[in-house]
Order: sequence, then C-alpha cells, then structure tokens
Amino acid sequence: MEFIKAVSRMLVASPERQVEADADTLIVQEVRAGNVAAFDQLVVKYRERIYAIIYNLTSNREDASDLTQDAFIKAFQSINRFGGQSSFFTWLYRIAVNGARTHLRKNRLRTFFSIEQASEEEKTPEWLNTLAVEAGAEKEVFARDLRQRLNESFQKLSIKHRTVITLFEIDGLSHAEIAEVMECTEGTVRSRLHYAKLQLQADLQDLLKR
Amino acid sequence: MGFAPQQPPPRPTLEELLQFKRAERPAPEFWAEFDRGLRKKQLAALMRHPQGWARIRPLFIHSLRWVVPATAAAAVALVVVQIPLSTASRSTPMEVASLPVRSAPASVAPGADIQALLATTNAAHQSVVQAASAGTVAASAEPVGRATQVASVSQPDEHSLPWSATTLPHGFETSFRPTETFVVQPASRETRRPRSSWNSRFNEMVQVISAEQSTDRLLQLASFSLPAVTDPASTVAPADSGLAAYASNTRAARAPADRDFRDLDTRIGVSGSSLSIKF
Repeated sequence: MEFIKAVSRMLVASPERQVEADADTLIVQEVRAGNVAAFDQLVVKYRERIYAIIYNLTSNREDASDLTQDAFIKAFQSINRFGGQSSFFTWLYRIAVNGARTHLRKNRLRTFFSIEQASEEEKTPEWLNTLAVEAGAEKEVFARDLRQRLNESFQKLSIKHRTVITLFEIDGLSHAEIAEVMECTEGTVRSRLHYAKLQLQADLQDLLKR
Repeated sequence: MGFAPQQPPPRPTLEELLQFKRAERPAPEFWAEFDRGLRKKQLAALMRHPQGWARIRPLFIHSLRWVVPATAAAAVALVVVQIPLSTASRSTPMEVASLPVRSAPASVAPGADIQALLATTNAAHQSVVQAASAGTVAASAEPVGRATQVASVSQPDEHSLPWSATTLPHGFETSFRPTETFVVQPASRETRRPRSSWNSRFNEMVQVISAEQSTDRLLQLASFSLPAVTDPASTVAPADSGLAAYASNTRAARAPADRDFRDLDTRIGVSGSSLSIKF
C-alpha cells in the first residue's frame, strides 16, 4: 500500500516537487530525531507561500500572520504523526488551509486589510496605467484600490471556491496537488475552479477585456 | 483621407488580474516580526502542560482505537451466532399426529340440519383457537360425519409474541376462498417455511382473525330466516304513509334490504340433494 501511494505521488508530483519533498523528508527526520532547530529550515522555506495562501483566503494581514504561525506550531507539535503518505508540503498546506477555513467559518464578518507593499513586478503592466488614467487617479492609488477590489471579489466566493482558486492561481499548485490538499477529487477541483473563475469574471466585468 | 483603426485601450484578462494579486507580498521587515512571534508561540507550546480533560484525552482517544473495533466485532459475532440459533429453534419440525382434512366443499345432505353444520364448523374453529392459545395442542373436534379435526403439537412455540396468543400452531393454515366453504387444512411439513420474522407472525394473526370473522358471518347467515318467497314489492312501504313512505322510497333506505335478500338468494343454493353456501 505504501508502495502504491509512493508511486502515485511520484506520478502526480513534478520532478522539482519530488526533489523538494525528498529534502523535506530528511529535515522532518532530523526534527524527529531531536534537532528542533532543523524545523526553522522548513519555516523559512514555506512561510511566504503559506502566508500568501492564508492571506488570499482571509484578505486580512493580521489574521494571515497569526494563522500562518499557528499552522507552523501545529505542524511542529504533530510532526511525529506525519506518516509520510503525502509530501510534507501537502501536509503543511492541509493544516494551513483547514485552519484558515475554520477561522473563516468562525469570523465571517471580519473586515479585511490589503497589504500596502507589493513587489515591483506588478507596477509595470500597461493595463494598470490605462485603467488608472481612465479612473483619473494616480497609479499607486489606483493599484491599492484595485487590490481592495480584488479582495472584495475573492471574499464573495465561497470558502471552497476561494481555496481552490487561491491554490491554483496564487500558489500555482496542480489540480492533483489541490485535490490532495483539499481531500477531494480532481474533477471536483476543476469544477470548483471553473465556477470560481466564472464568478470572478462576472464580478470584475467592468475591468476586464471585452 | 484615411483613418487609422482606433485601438481599444488595453484591458487586463482575469489571469492578469490574478497575477497582479499574486504579486501582493508583505515587506521584508514583516518576516522579522513574524519570526519573533513564531518563536514565542513555539516556546509557549513547549511549556504548556495539558490540564484536566486535555490531559486524559489522548489516553481516551488511544483506547478508543481498540475499544470501538472490538465492540463492533463482538456485535457482529453475536449477530452471526444468534441468527443460526434462532433459525434452528424456529424450524424444528413438529409432530402432527393426525389431521383429517375436509377439502371438499361443504355439502349438506337433504334434510340435514343446517344448525348442526354450523355447530360443526364453529366447534372445529374453537378447537383450533384453543389449541393455539394453549401452546401444546391436543385438541379434537368430533362433530358430524367427516368433519373431524385432531391436532397434536409436541413442542410449544417458544417464540410466541404477547399479542399473538391466538396464532395457529405450526402446521396449520386457514384459508378462505370466496366461492368455497370453510376449510381448515394442515400445511405439509416439507413445504412449511420457518417463521423467521415478525411480519409472518403478524400475517398469521391476521389469518386467524379473518377466520373468526368468516365463521361469525357464517353463523349470522345461517341464523337468518329465509323467507318463503322473496317479493321485492313487499319491501316497499305503502305509498300513502306520509314521511315514512318518502323515506322508504329513497335509495338509501331501500337499498340495504334489497341487497341482503339478493345476497342470500345468490349465496345459498339448493342443487339436487345438496345445499351449498358461498362466502
């Protein structure tokens, strides 16, 4: 059974992911052996990705920070229970996504705050200048408003649809990896992704290419 | 004068908007704060001792891992053992000592007393019911001629239900068909199905009740005095009797009496030297 799972994981995961997963397994074994500091390597490696997922699910930077820390604490506490049926990053993603979803169910009416700083690459697209001119606003102000608008559109999606589109579009996971994280079939992932995109397109119709 | 085609202003696709959102990242100093917070939480988690229920919960959950499957396995084993036992006890063959059957339609010789025939049927029915309620049946009804019914069951029915005190003993089935006479006949032991459900018990009870009702109907019919001549006109009240005449002329008032007489006429017939009663 373990052999079948390992083979299926190898078939599903890309070669880079496989190398990554093997390196993670070694670190996990170190942590289990008592080298607690080795866990920091996993934190540094995955904190940005976990934070990005949780931030796009909650649209709140404070909550995203807390939930990311909680996910790492939970992973650290239960690292002995990590059986190796899936790769470490899938297991960690599952912990993070489940924690975020539980938080969202408990705090449905929480307000959100966009991150003020963004990386440089998003300031250059031509369409951003055009839309800013059309709106008669400065580019930075328009970019902030646009982020706010995108967060609002994300929050209108259901938690499941939001999770799928975040994992696929923001973190770049494959359908199979999302299915493993969300514990559903790939067909379900595709279906949710399709409906999430349709809903976003309908909501952002005035901004999009006609 | 030619016009250059006007290019629409560039607009983003959904994928480009999502890419824009993907680029949304916190500042590098954020991660220093994040690491400090994580370190604090990690230490707190290491120092925290579980209290109360949280302390025994792991033990409880660990024990559940074994208790739940063991209980389920025991329940399944109990059911598996119980089913053959109950089936065996129910399907134990019973001894039917003798049971002459009257399967032919009831016929009465000319001049025979119809009351005697009814008494015979009633006695047979009573004996069957008594035998069933007693559990051990050793009943005999020795009425007139061939209508003899003797039943003997060696083993009492251990699975009788409280409400099934009047069920028939094993080996008996009571059947009534609309055009036949009352027949009590034993079912053959070989073809008898073991009663293994409450539903079959209920069906048997219903059969006994229907047998009782049919016997009562037989008694009612027999006690009814046949008119010498059935004259429909005699059932109509005189026309000049006011309100009573109006009531008797209505279909509701007249129909039951007519139907009773017609029913009697069609159910009881004399052909040759025999009297037949249809149900």
